[in-house]
Amino acid sequence: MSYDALVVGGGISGMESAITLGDMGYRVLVVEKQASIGGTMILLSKVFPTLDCASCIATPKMAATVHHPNVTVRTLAEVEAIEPTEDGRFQTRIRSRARFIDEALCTGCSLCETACTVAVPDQFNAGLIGRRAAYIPFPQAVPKKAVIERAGTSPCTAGCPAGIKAHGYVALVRSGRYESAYELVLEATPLVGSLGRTCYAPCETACTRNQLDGPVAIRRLKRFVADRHLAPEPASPPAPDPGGGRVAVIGAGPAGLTCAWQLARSGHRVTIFEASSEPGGMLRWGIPDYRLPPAVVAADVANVTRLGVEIRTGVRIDDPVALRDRGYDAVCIATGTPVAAALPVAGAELDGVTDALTFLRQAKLDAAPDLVGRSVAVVGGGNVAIDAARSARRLGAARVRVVSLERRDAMPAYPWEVDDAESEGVELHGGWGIAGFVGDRRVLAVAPRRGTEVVDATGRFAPRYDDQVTRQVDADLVVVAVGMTRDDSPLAQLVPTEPQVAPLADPQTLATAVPGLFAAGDVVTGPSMITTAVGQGRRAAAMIDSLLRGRPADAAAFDRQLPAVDPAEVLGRQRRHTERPALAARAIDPAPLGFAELEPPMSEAEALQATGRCLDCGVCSECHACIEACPADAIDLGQADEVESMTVGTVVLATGFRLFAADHKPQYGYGRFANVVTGMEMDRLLAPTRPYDTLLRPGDGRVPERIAYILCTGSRDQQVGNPLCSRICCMYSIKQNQLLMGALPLADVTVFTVDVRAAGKGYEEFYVQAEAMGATFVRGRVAQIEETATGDLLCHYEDLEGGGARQAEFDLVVLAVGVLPNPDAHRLFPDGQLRLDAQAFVDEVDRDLDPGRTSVPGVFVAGTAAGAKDIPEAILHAGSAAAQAAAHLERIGPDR
Amino acid sequence: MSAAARDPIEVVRDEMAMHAPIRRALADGPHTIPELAQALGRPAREVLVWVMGMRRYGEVEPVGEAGSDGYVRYRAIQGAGR
Amino acid sequence: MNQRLGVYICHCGGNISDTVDVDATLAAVANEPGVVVARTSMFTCSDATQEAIVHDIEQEHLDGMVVASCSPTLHTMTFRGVARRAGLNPYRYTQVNIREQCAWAHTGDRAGATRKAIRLVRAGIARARLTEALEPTVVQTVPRALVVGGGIAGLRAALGLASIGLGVVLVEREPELGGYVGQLGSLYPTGRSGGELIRELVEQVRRQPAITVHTAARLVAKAGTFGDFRVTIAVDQPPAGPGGPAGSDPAAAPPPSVRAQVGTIIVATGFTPATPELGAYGFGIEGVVTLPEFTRMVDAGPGPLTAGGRSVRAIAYIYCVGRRDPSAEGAGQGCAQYCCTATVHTALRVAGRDPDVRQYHLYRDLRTYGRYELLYDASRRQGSVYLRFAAEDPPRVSRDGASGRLAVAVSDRLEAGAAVEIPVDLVVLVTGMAPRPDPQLAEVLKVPVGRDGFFHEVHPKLRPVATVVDGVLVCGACQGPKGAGESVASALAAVGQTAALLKRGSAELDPQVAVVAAPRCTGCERCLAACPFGAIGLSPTAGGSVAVIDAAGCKGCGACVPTCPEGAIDLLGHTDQEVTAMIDALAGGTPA
Repeated sequence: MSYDALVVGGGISGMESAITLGDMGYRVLVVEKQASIGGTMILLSKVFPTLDCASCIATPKMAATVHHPNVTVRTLAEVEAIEPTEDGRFQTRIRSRARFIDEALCTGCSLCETACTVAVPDQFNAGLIGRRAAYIPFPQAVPKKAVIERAGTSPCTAGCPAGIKAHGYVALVRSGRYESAYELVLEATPLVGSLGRTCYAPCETACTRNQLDGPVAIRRLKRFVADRHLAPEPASPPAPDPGGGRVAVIGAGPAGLTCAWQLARSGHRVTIFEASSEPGGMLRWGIPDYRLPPAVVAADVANVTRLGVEIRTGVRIDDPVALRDRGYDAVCIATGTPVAAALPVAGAELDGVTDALTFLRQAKLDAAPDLVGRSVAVVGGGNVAIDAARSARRLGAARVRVVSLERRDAMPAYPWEVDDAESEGVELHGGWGIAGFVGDRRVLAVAPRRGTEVVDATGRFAPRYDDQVTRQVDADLVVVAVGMTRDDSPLAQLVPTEPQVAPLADPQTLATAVPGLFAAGDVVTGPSMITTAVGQGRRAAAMIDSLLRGRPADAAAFDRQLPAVDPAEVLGRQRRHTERPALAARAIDPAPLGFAELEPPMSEAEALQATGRCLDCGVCSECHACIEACPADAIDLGQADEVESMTVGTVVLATGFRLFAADHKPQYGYGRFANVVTGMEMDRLLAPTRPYDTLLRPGDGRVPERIAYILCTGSRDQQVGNPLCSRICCMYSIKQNQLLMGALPLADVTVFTVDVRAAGKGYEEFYVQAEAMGATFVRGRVAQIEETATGDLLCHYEDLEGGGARQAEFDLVVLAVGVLPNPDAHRLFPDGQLRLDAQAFVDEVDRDLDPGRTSVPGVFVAGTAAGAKDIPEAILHAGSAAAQAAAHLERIGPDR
Repeated sequence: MSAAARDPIEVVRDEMAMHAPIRRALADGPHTIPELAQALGRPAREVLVWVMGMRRYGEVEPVGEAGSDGYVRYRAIQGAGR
Repeated sequence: MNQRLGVYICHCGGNISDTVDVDATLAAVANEPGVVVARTSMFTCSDATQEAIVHDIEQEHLDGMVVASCSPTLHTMTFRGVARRAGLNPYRYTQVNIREQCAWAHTGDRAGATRKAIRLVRAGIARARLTEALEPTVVQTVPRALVVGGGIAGLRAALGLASIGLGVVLVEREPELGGYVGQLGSLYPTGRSGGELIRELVEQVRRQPAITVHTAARLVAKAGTFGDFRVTIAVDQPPAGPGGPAGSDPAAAPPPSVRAQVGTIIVATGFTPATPELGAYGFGIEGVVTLPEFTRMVDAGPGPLTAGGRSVRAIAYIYCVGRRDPSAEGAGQGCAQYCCTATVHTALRVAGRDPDVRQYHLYRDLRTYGRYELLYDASRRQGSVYLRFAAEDPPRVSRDGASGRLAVAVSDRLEAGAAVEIPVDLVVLVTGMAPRPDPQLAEVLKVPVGRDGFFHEVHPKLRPVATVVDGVLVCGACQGPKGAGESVASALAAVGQTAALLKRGSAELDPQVAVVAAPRCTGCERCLAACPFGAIGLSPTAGGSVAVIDAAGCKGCGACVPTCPEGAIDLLGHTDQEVTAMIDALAGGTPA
């Protein structure tokens, strides 16, 4: 791949250079960073001194550039490196960033923008208004194709083992689209209500807002959408896809239900075999009702059966391989870890010593022992132990003591669960191992000994004890919660002989050693979290679907995501963050009774408050609303950047300029006073494609009548380190004066200036015309601006023509900000090769005879990358660069 | 008037959440930006950003030109929004 | 007759739709006979709308199209390109100007403007029904350019052309190459010697075999057309080729004129320094000089500056002399752009030579734009004093009989109008650049000049070095005041445009030319006299002769058409039939 000329930047100078070189017959590549060519000029209202509308000049140049037979344009692309080679050419590397839209399919209809749930400041409107994360840059964009702005995967979404688009449903809730939010979670799992209550919310742990004032309540928002979700009327399930297969899923826990759900959605016929009397697995039997009411689980399970999945309860499968031979094309084993681990100590067989799974199941069935006024000891420090302890309190136990090997701050249970348990009167005894249970037939007490270490130097579980330190904890009931394992009996043919060495299933494909048999969830991973099991179920479904559709299973592509966004980058987007506290913690009943659900539902107001705290880390939330809305099926969130290397004969740098950041003159109040705007903002306010319906001041939407201009803001100013005149500000201000007086005949326009630099063909006449129309030019320096109670602006200025210190009040102040160098060009070249001038513009080595020639032979600079220029100067300069680039190409001769 | 101006990114981000409240505030007829600001209890400069965003995507529209007080009134477009 | 027309009416982002009711216009014309597609758009020239039109042409099999938007000078080429991309002959497209001729002319009268827009569009439709496919004449272009003017712009243009592989004929009026910059001792902002710079350029030009130089020579005739001009150059001395003047035989008579074939002509004839009116600001008094005169004094030598035999201890510079005057004619209204910086640069040189010379700058606005601001800063640091005067209260210069010194009286605006009288030894009047009149060249090239007397480009942004005469380009200070570097940038831009026109080897000429219906022609020769381009000749026939129009020479101006008593001449693309149909549509029918 090679081109004669590489033009970096698709603004007016870049386009001019490209068209000229293309007309000469050279093959030109234009690389533009933004999603459209056109640069700054296309954003302007009209242009001096002819008052042509900028669009009328720029749009045909844009069209001529993209339609030129010799010009290729890459938008949303960046040159990463330019290396000169021996033969006078250049080796370059160009990154075309993913647009996440298939350009060939996109019709530019804007429906994705309208549907999008994330608003960000519109850089093409100087930030005066929001645009969407899915956007078309501006009405005259070339190409007029949508683009989805993605900074990466939002940390919450990246942190979800279930693959739920956490940011997506938060954004949908924020937009009031609760049902869509529910459906987005359904894309991953049917267990919306269950996860909304019981998920340990790794999304919230990852939430960038943790670094400010606490995470967004992402889990509770999921519950909110589940609470708001109105289950549809029972309808006959959709007919399975005739091309689908028959799949048996063993186990109706989180992994099995999710796997079945995903397969059914993909058009397969699925039967779940569940050994117990009801589906739900740990959701149904392991999690106490106060955390997860059975009705919620039932509603989630109904999502699955509504799709036509058959759940056969009370059916234990002892030979999964035989199932395959009974006509199932694939089998997924998702039997979890239903076997409680025993504690191999003396007295374990005593009456009154039970395991947590049994105890919790009894509680769920209202069949627990009578504990009113009794003492309970729970052995273990995990979440199950805490569930058991809190359940015991609810059953009336007077004393509940949790004896755990780990000290309190190292307990594996979630800290908030531990806190709540303590608040409910559960006593914690951390740092004790169990020497045995004391009693005679029936247990009387637990005998702990001091634990000294829990893990060894390698992190392996290897408890050590100090047998000298012991004590006794009286207990009428002992609940042992020290772990769970899988039931190996039905897995005889599948379990490798060396279970420590070979897992049940390949962790990527979840395929077992037997073809057609897959395994997912805790049976593979050991005891994990519900979300992890859900993720396993999804993965297994995807692999089974590939098998049944005859596609190669691409396990690496499953759930492929953009890298997670760095929270520092997210926080760095804002200069200041308003504190927005998370929802207040609820009060805990110190002596809870009964199993009523503990956490109240979120109100709509609370939900909106919670979503308002989201920082939109990834920009695009992956809410999939655009995918729903796109009539052309053009959205492809799986796209990736493309990097290509190529040889070019010459380079034209047309990287343009930056505007002075007006808040670097704090005395003018830009950024604090809403009615102080920059010249670029005013140009947008005046443009036909303006952000507002008419010319309004940003502070309160009032039509301004007294408008002031402050020239040389950030130019000719040693204080801000810019001694140069910016060339364009006098003239664009005069242009705006004329447009303002045309739009608002009653407006008074005052210009504070030192000199009026109307130097150029027809410029002086243009200035005289503005004065004739009524603009007042005051030779004065504005020292400071104050804001009044009504948002008006009091300008304190020094009248340079002898009037001394004065002040005047205005409705709107326009800061005529100047031109600063754009540092982009410099870093493209190997160290120091591209020389910059004292102000860091690209240096021209012979301004007298070769305008545009840089310190690197064969590299030319066009337009404002070399210093402030108005449009006619930039166009001439671009022509000059093109002529010299052509001469360089003639000199080096054709490429091989 | 606006001593504690919020970061513009934050203001713009809030637009999505403000569509429904603004539509509710416009249910009784067209209003100016300061009127909406009062109804919502939010600064006028923020309300302007949100209303203009809604206008851009076809949810509200101006009613005529600015009145003698210098303010334009806006109305919700029926059937727009979600 | 075309029966499947597409009509596109543009909002121009409000430029049109703020005044014209675009939707009403659309409704009024959508059912005109032959219209099968009618749409409005925000910016018809935008790529998206262009693509939509291409789609319409292809899907609806359009055989004609009308775009009602802005002036044809802006976008005729744009929409011809659209038609071409869609496979429709570009000349089956009709542009209707409802912006300049309608919206901008009738702001405040929405109803009237809309009525007019409807009629203009109907007229366009009427024409579009009659347009015919035309094919451009293709000319083989000559890979050589004529550069008129051997100053810094012309020299650099010539070298630029040669370095892209194009031949050059360079014509300079004076006996020596170099122009104004060649006489300068120091250029801003680099401080390099103009003389040396020019010597360097001239040397390169002389070494370059692709460049033929004619000095003391003038362009006296131009024939042919863009891509293939035939020019005649009157020379007072033999042409100089590589290696110095050719034909060193003194016995050989110098040829009176040289002919050359070139593809384009680049005009780089520069400017002339403006001279103040006698009496203005003391001009005429001894010791009152113009800036060019003063820079020559500074260039003259390293010794102390003297005036009238006395050492110069104080200088007053008066800026904007004869400039920025709204009541002035021609160039006097405008700002001369380069002179503030040139003056400041000169003051720095004076201070560099003798820091004790007091220098007073009497200015209106100091226009050291862009990076030239650094020179202004430096001059103030070196002690230059700046006093601002008002246009209505200009400085007065007099010579004190007693002391013999000059005095400048001025009200300093920066000191509340305090009257100041400054004794000085020299007053420098900063006068700027004036156009360099050359009626003969203007006559040969027919390049228009603007109100300011400088050559006029087509459009400062769209086609900044092109003129309305195809193939004739302008650059440097003949376009308007410019500094040396700016002149060179425009010269190289003209090189780029020339290469864009000539490197491909062929060019297309507009086929909208006049044609003679020979059977009706009586050979009366009236049209011959009417043609400003000499494109009409006579061709003998059996019974006499008939007029014949050279398609390559005809510019399609139409001047010949009404002179024909037989109505035998028609202008392709604007036939009598088309124009009549447009008039009928404009005048007839029910008022909109």
